[in-house]
Amino acid sequence: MGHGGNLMKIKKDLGVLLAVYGLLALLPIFFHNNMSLMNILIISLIWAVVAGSWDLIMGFAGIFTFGQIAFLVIGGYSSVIFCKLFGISPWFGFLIGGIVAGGAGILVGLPCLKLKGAYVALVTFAVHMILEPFLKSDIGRAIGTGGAQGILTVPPLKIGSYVYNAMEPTPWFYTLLIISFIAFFIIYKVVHSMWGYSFIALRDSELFAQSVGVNAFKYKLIVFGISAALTGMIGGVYANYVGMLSTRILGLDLFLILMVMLVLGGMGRFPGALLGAFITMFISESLRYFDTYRLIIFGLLVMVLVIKMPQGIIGLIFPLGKAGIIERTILHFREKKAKKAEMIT
Amino acid sequence: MLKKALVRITVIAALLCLSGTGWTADTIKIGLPVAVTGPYAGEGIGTIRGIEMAVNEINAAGGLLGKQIEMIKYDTQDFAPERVMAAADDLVGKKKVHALHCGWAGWGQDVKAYGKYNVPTFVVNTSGSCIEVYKSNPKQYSNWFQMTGSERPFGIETAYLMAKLPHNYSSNKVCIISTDDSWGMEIAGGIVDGAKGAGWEIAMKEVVPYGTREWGPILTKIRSIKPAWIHVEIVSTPDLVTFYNQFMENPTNSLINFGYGLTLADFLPNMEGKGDGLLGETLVIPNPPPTKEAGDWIERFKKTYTDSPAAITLSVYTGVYMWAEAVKSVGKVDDYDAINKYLASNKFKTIEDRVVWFNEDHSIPTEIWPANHIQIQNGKLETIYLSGKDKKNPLPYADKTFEKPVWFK
Amino acid sequence: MLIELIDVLISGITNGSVYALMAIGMALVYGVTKVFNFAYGSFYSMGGYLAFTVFGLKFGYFPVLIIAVPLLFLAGFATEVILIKPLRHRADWEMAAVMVTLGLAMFLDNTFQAIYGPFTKSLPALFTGGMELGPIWIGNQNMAMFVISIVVLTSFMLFLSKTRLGMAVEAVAQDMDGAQIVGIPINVVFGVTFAVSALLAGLGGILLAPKYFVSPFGGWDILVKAWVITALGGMGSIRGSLYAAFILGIIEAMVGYWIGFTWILFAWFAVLLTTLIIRPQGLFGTWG
Repeated sequence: MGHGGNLMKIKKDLGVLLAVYGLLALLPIFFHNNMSLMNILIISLIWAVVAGSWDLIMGFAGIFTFGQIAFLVIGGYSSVIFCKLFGISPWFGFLIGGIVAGGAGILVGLPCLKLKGAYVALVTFAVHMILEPFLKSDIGRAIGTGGAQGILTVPPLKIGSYVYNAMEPTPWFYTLLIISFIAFFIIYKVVHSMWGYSFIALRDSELFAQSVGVNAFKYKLIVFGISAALTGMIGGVYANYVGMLSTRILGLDLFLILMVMLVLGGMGRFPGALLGAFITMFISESLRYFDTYRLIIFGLLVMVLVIKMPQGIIGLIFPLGKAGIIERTILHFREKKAKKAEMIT
Repeated sequence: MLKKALVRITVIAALLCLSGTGWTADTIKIGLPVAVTGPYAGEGIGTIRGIEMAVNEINAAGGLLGKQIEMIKYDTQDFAPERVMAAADDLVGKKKVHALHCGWAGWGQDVKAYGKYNVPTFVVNTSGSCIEVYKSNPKQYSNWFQMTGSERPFGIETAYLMAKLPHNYSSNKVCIISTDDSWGMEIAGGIVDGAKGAGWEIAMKEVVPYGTREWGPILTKIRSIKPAWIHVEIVSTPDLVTFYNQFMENPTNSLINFGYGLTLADFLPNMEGKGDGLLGETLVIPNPPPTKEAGDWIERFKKTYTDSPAAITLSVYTGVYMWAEAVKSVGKVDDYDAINKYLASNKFKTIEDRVVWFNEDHSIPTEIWPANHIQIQNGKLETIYLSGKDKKNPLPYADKTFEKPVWFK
Repeated sequence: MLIELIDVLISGITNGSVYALMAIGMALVYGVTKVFNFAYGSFYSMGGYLAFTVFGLKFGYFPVLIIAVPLLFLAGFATEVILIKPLRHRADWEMAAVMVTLGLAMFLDNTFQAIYGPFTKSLPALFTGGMELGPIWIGNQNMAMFVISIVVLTSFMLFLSKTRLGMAVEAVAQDMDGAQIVGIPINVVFGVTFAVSALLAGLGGILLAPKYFVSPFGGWDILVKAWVITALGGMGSIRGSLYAAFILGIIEAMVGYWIGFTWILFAWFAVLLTTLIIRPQGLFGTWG
């Protein structure tokens, strides 16, 4: 792909993003009375941001992390705890959630820099696993996590004199629409910036990237930080929307559903995670009355999609074309050969 | 290219929106937000069976206000707050159910989610944190009713019961093992609270995560302490059975109390006839049943479902009848405020011939609906004591008495 | 005090032998095929449920092995051929393999729940009783587990280093392209490796079912533990997994005794992180 192709791709990505958000913005006109649908849309927007920032690090940067929910929880808890402790507005709480989670992301990123593949996944998942005992422990309780019970009341979100509440989903919806748009715009900007190209270069060939002067160390830390910060910010929003927080969110369910969102949407294809989140939530709701069979169908769907539709839904709408895949495969083998040649010498 | 893509997006979106439409019929609808998948599905089965049994009986007897009751399920999976909210919006907001019967529903998110509407909502959470949330806005949550009280009193009762058993303890030392969730922590806290008055000394208090299968280090401690009794509060069968099996490899002369765990639906089947002498506390119907009605109920249940009813089954079953009684008295199924008011201000009779009512905090604490203290004897659960108004003084029940466990040397 | 210490050590060794059995299959499959198999725990559960089903027919333990061994082998082989092979040519195949096995895990676990229900199932004990050495008591079950895991692991290492097939597997593990050049049918090796891994996980499930019981989602705990063990030992090193299993088993017992059970995972990950900072490839790992 030449430079012109890239420019077109940039325009296209922004176009899709704007189109999707335009369509979403119209939905409340028809459905504002349908509480259950509105609730699903709001939650989809929240998970979309988590999936999108996960995709930024895993799909674009190619760093295999499993710590996204941990950052969501870190952001959520720190946002609520700060609001309660200092009486600040939840709007600032979201920012603080993002900052704390971003810091945690960089900290977690540090030991990962020297590691490869499944090791990075393990170390980041380790953060996920030890967060629960930590939040429940005496130290956690002292910070204000509420221990095993969690945080039962969250300060309400206000704008002017209006107080957000569960009976009126439309203000929530538009607020989340804006917040998630900002998040996706940041992701879009990152993907199409010098940073973004460095990420992709690092993903496709670390050796090559380093030889042209890309500092793997710095960029990996930056992507850890941005991805965690966006997730942490939305963690604060999540806590505010559902009105409580506990460690149970660290269970397997959310982890699996976010993975499905990534696969369905198309990993490393902007804005696949956004579409993936909505489609996954709707399939999940449509299959609700199948009980156990719902998750069996989900499992099957994931397997078929990964094998038959590697580009996800976004690939269905904007197919990369056969040449793209073949090109990439050739590139991959060339790379391998180069690596081997290097090892021999 | 962009246009084509837009068309494709619209088609996909339209197809998705088509899924899921409600229907109406002349029935009374009740919503069952219950976990049928995931780790809580076990309790979910006991819940659905209890509600189903009551509904089938009412329908067979001509229905409620002449109408048949229809059940609508919603899988709440792991009770994530947003999922419970979705359940409320789907069942009440969209499907317009007339009541919610939930069984175990959460630790506070249920109060908020279902309290958003005003249809009568019955839960069996046994949760102090739920009561806390309820108290934060009693007016808003006036439709929320907890069929049990908070956790802690169960622990206090247990400490006093253990002191009352006709048993020659070799010491006054107690070892407590509990999980790190609020249920386990609160029960353990209750035992510590009650220990002082009952004359126990807490020699060990361990917290373990769910899924513990190897008990070596804890058993090493127990074997060196040689406690009078051990309390294990874990709501998970494999954890309890592995503890028992490993304890039995080299037992000490200590009584063991498994609390609520003894009445988990899969506990006794997995003990395979072992475990005579284990103690526990729960809300199942005492054995032998106190009334003919209660005895018949158990028989009917076993006939339909082959298993024995779980503790939660009776609570949800009773809840359905309490709601039906309120609806009948009000005369209308959708005058929710009147039904809620009736529920909050009246007394109800259970099939065990007990009189229960909701306290000011919309729960039925253990003083009103007392726990019964059970022991495994010849592979069966037998009630040996029943707690009453006085927590400190449980009363012997029927003709079964405490038996020395098999592992005593 | 000394007796308690010995007791704790015995607990640790018991843990270690169980963990060695759990982790060996994962170490093998990662070492050879570089696939991180998320459905590993589900194969463990599959073994448990197969044992439960066959045992329910009242034939005893021997038929369990006759029926379960080929079935598990087949399930593993099919997984490789149907799910992993089509991905192998892709640039991002390692991640795709994780996703596809995740889908498989969801599918299998929920199928177990649909068939067997959510309740725990149990099997009668294989070994009962124990022996008393003064104040110390060792259960036969634990002794048997120790012996079995040592025998299985050492014979497995011998198989890899002494037999033709084993050497082919090792060759593929060390250099995939080189192995192909010298004429090793790598597709067969991949398939067989996956099959053996599933078989080992399933056998672990069968052996541990009487001790730990079977439940639909019981495999996830196994997956996480096996993952930590193989990572500490060095992903793909079977000898490394053996040592790591006993190190972590003993740490678990000591932390459980002196600090508390809720801190065990903490301690595991702390040990793992420190090791990885010093040796990014794990104790016995080599970069592949």
